[in-house]
This record gives sequence, C-alpha cells and structure tokens, in this order.
Amino acid sequence: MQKLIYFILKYKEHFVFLGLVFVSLSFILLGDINKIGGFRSIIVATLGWIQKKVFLIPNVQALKSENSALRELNFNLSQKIINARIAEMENQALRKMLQLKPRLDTPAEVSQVVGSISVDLRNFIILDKGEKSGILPMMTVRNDAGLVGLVVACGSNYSLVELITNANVKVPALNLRSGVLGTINWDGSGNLLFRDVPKFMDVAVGDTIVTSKFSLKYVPFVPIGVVVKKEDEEGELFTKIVVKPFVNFSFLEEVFVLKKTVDTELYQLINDYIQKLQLLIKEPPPKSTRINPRKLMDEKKKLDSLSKIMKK
Amino acid sequence: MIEQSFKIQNTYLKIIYYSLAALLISVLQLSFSYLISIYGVTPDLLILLVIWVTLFEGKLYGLIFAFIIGILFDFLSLNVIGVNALTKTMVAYLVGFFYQEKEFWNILRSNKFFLICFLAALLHNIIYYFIMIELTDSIFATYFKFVLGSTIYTMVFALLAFFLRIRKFW
Repeated sequence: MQKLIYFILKYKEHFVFLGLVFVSLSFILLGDINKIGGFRSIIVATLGWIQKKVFLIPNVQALKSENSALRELNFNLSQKIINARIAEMENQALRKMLQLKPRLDTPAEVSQVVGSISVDLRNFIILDKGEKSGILPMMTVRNDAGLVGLVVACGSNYSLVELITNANVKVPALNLRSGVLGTINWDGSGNLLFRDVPKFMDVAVGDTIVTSKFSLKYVPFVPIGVVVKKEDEEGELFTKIVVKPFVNFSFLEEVFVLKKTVDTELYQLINDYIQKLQLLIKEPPPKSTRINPRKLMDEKKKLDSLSKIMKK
Repeated sequence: MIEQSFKIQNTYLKIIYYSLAALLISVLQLSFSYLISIYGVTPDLLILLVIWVTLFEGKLYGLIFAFIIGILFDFLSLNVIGVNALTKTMVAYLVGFFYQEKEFWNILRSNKFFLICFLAALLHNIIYYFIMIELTDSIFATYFKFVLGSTIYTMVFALLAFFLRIRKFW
C-alpha cells in the first residue's frame, strides 16, 4: 500500500493530468454534442479509414445490416428492370406489328390476347374482339413472328383461337426454298414436326416453313418456323423433320386476325363429297337389295325343275 | 511562524492575482478579440497565462490552474464545457516539462520561451480545432488555417516578452 502511495506521489503530476483530462472529456461528452459535429465526423471518418486499412475482421453486425439494405435495394432494382424489360418487349412487338401491317396482303384486325384456356389437352387463346369487329370462325391468326392458330369460335366481343400447338391440328405447309409439301403437327414439346415428307425430298436444316396454298383453312405463305433438325430413320419411308416455331407461344400479347375466310363454294363441294363417301362407307344397301347366293341357287333349282316339268 | 504566515499570505495573494489576471484576460478575449481578428483567426492570450503560471509555479499547480481557467472560459464563452479545460490542461502538461525551479526569469529572457510558446500554442490549437472544427466543404483547409493562424497570432503576443530582455522596461 505504501509502495502504491509512494508511486502515486512520485508521479502525481501525471495522475493529476490524467484525472483532469478524464474530467474534461466527461464534461465534453455530457455537454452539447451537436456543437462538435466536425469532431465527430472526423473521428468517424478516421475510424472508418483505420478499420478499412488496418482491421481484417469486419464488423459482422454492420455487414448484416448492409447486406439487408443491399438486398432490399437489389429487389427494388430487379423489379424495375423486369418492368423495363416487359415494356421494352411490348414496345418492340408493337413496332414490329406496325411495320408488318402495311405489308400484309389480306386485311387484318389487331387484337389483344386476354386469356388462355386448355380443354382436353387442347390449347386455346381468347381475343378481345369478336363478330362486332368482323372476326369470323376459320380465320387465320398470326403475329409479327408467324402463324399462331385459327379462330374456331366467335362471340360478339370475344373470339376463341385454337393454337397450332395442339396434337390434333395439322397445317398444310411448304418448304419455302425447295417447295416440298408436308404437314405441320405439334410434337408435344416446344417444337413442331414437318411430316409426310419422303426421304428423298430436298429439305435442309435452316429452311423456312410456311403455310401452303393448298390449305383450306389457313391463309397461304404465313411463316411457321425454321427446320432445326432432320433425321432419317432406317426402315421408314418418311424423314423426321423438326421445326422450331417462330412464335413464342408462352408470350402472346397482340395478334393479327387475317380477315380471309375459306372459299365457301369449294368448302361446300368438298364437304358434300366427304359426306357422300361417309354415307357409302357407313350405310350398307338394304337387305332386300342384297344378293343371297343360297336364295339364288334355290330359285335356279326351282326354275330348272319347272323347265323339266314343262318339257315332259 | 511569521515566515509561515507570510508564505500563506503570499499564496493567497498569488491566487488573487492569478484569478484577477485570468478574469481580465478572459473578458478581453471574449469582448475585444473580434476587433483584432483576421479572417476569423484570433490569438489565445489565456495560453500565455497558463505558460506563465506553469513555468513560475510548477507542473502540478499549472495543471490545476489551467483546468480551472479552461472551465471558467468555457462557461463564460458558452462553449462546449470541457474543451478549453482539456486543451489548457494539455498545454500545462507540455509546458511542465520545461519547468525548472527558480529559473523562471532566465527562461523568460531566453529564446526557449518562444519555443515553449510556439509548441504550447500549436498543441492547443491542434486539439482545440480538432474538436471544434465545423463541418464545411474544405474541412482540412479550414482546420489548418485556424491551427496555424491562431498559433502565429498568439506568438505575436508572446513576442512582447522581448521587452522583458530590455532592463529599462522592468
């Protein structure tokens, strides 16, 4: 204890100095800190600089809060980017449509896709225009990229369009380069198949496929897609041709309804013929008109016996 | 006994003199310093008083005097309480290293005194403006302007000690 007192007395000036400095700093901290804003900012900046240059261990709490703030900021920015991208895509689509409309041979009605439905694995889209706008069933629907489908039903204000991405839809098609004819049919995934093309026909990867003029339903020369794959299988007469559609069916916004319906006379003619064929197949001749060989034999026997009797 | 009472009386007189000097300089500093300020830079005459007391009375007394005078000045100037107390105490601590018993007048007449004044004023201003600097666009330029300006201005008043070298003035 004495040593401690001696030590303190020996260095009393230093202890007094430290005590007075401590009291002064306490007064400063208890006082109006707003007046020493510059001091605070210099201290904070200096500490930050030292921490950046010297300390290797980061402040975990500060990093957490910074991360949280950055995540929030990132979320907001990504949302804005998505909105901007959607707007850009919409803008591009509208620009393309504006450029395309004057080039179309047939009159077209611009329509918005307002919904989509699936009935028995068949995909349809709903348009916001119907008979009031001059849209009728059997009209071809396309967008700036290519063929979308066919109007199958119409209300006064809405129309139902059957997409070509249905397994039962077959579109007569044409290879624009070589003129080879075939049928376009959905393969069940994202691509189409160019069917009924014999192996020896000239079809190459990169060829553009369009609707053919022999189609009764679809307007001719509407782009469908591009050949991306060609496979010749052994023992098969036909080649397997995969076509990638031009249209992005998952993002349909605006479409054109080509106001060109089927030639009714031709359609009627074909319909009548088909009905006749069906009648011939389905309805056999009445029983009375049928030829019965046994009966004929009996009748012949009867006639023979009669003739014998007459001779006698 | 008479010698002891004389000593006590002398101590009281010293306290009274120093108190009066501190009060007078504080009032002068607060009331008239703006008249002699150059671009906002003013001398700090209390530093000179602290140097005087510390060199004359010793480190311990100098520290206590500096702290009291600093607190007093903070109260009078409506400043942040403790800032002047801190800086003046540090000045006293620094000057205390130059204290030599019964060598006050010799130090005062030598060039060492100017060195002490310069170092003390510089230390005081570095700490004082480090705490009290206001946030501006050019914070470092302002800081150095005030630190160096105030130090030089205080040194001008310290040069008055030259007169103490000429015998006919004292």
